Amino acid sequence: MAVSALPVAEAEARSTSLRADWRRTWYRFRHNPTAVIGLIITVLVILIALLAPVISPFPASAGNFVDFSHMLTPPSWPHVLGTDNAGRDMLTRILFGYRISLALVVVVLLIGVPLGVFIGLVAGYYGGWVEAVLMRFTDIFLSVPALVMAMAITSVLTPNLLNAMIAVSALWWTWHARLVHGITVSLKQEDYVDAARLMGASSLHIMVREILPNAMSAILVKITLDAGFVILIGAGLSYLGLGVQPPQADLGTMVAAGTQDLPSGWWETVFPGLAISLAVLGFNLLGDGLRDLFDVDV
Amino acid sequence: MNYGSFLTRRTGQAILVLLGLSVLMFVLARIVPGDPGRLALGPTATASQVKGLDHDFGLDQPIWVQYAKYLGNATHGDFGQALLTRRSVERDMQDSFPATLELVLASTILVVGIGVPLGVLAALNRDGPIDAATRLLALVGVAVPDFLLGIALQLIFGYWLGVLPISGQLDPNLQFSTSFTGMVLPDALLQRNWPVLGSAFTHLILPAIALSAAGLSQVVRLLRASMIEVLRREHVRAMELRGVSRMRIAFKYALKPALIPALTVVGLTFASLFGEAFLIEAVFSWPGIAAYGLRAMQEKDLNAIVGVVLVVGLMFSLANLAMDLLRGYLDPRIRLKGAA
Repeated sequence: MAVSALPVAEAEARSTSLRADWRRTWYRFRHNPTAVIGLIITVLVILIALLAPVISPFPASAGNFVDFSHMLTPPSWPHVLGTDNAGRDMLTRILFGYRISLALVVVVLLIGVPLGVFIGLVAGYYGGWVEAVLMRFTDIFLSVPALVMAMAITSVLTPNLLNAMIAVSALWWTWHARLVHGITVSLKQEDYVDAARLMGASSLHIMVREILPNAMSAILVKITLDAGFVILIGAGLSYLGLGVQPPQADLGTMVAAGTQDLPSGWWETVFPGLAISLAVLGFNLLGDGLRDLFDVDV
Repeated sequence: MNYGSFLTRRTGQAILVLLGLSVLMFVLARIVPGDPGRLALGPTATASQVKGLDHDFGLDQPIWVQYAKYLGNATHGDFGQALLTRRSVERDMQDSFPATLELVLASTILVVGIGVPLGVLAALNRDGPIDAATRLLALVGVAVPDFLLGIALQLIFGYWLGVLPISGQLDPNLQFSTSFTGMVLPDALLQRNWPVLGSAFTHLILPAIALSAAGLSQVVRLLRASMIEVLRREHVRAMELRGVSRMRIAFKYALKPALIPALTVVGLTFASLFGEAFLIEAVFSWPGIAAYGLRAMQEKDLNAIVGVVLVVGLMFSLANLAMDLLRGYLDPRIRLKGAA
């Protein structure tokens, strides 16, 4: 009895302390206005993207719809943000535009983060020539501004949403590789890593179970900040005609299309642009807040 | 590590990375698109015509021979013909590069000239109105895409107020050929051509502001943080107690150590401006190498794409290298860490 009671008590104590940890973290998060505003905007943007077909006032406007009797209507009821030069409702197109922006973010992070984390872990843990080769390889992708590299890749592959996803993913692992490499190099000198090695743990175990958990908070913060940058780079690609192609409702493409109708049809350019800014602002505020909360250097 | 070996090592890394970039671009432009001869001649050409073209351009040789030839040509600036202009890519880039450099330099001047004093003032007036204003600037600089900022500036100062030109580098009625630097503004000054100088200046204002916003906000926040850290040190307290004025302490004694971390950001900003220029030159129809590269990418002109990306990579790497070497010179600890 006494033998089995001890682990139970220990587990209970551990779960209580974990819960207390969470409560403390949540308390500090709630009292950080930047983080809370960021979280609210982020949740709002994600909800909009998920619910766009349900909540938009004119769902037909999302596609190749034309209504010349309502073209370039200034903001007014029922077109609160006006219409574009094909008579499509701007609010609807912006709400749908968030779907493409977030789809890009999700795909890029799903591919880029695991790849970058893996390369960073391996480079930092093994050191020596493995590190030299992997990190110089990483440097190559960072030797040209990200936007330019993404532009070059999409232009060769034919510009569209899928290739924009490929191009941006092909770059995005590099930042995570650098981040995790730096963390791994400093963490592998810690006593608990030595302890694990002395107990005969495999390299894989040490990387994944000892080092990675301690890098998670930094990776999480980086992912949040990344989301904003991926949206910006995707919008930039589309704006330049090297990303999503019309008639798909993408925020960058909408800004570009709207510039033809400046200055009179300013709402066609300004509102999709502000929609991009709002989403980027949300992710950045949340990321900054999380960075303060976890006290990591990203 | 002494400075000499740090310099050699860091320069060697930069050369290695640029070689890697040349391989990457070779793979992207020569291997990924598939059959280059077929691409150039179109679907109606016969197999023997494609074969003839492949032979004429050395496309039937082993891939590593092709790479060696491409690299050899690239090192003395030969990237072949541009389909777009029917001229050599090298000439096109020589003609368009100075305009981009002019824009990037003007933005860098704005970033440093406004960013540094503003960062110091924000640190001195911590939590005051200037500090709040810089925080707002930082948020805007990061969240607002610079092409939107450019369009907003065009709308306000070009269309609505009508005070500044919104596109191009010079009034189309003015004739001007650059001489010494290839850049319009400095050359107009050297030639004492005042109408051109005035026109070039007014054309430069809006794109330079739009291009500098993101970097400016970063420099301000970073300098603020490092100034606050330096102002907390003992020797600053000692000077305060001796009655040295706050401005004198800030600009004469605290700024120098605080500038080292900011230098990195200025270097990175200068380098990244060459990337952001692709958006800003598109917005303002600025006749630079970024606009040329963009057109090449939109038309899938492979030779021009390779040339522009390698030149941008060279500028980017040189700027980063220069900053690292300068930092290593100023702060010996960086030399020691600078290995990996």
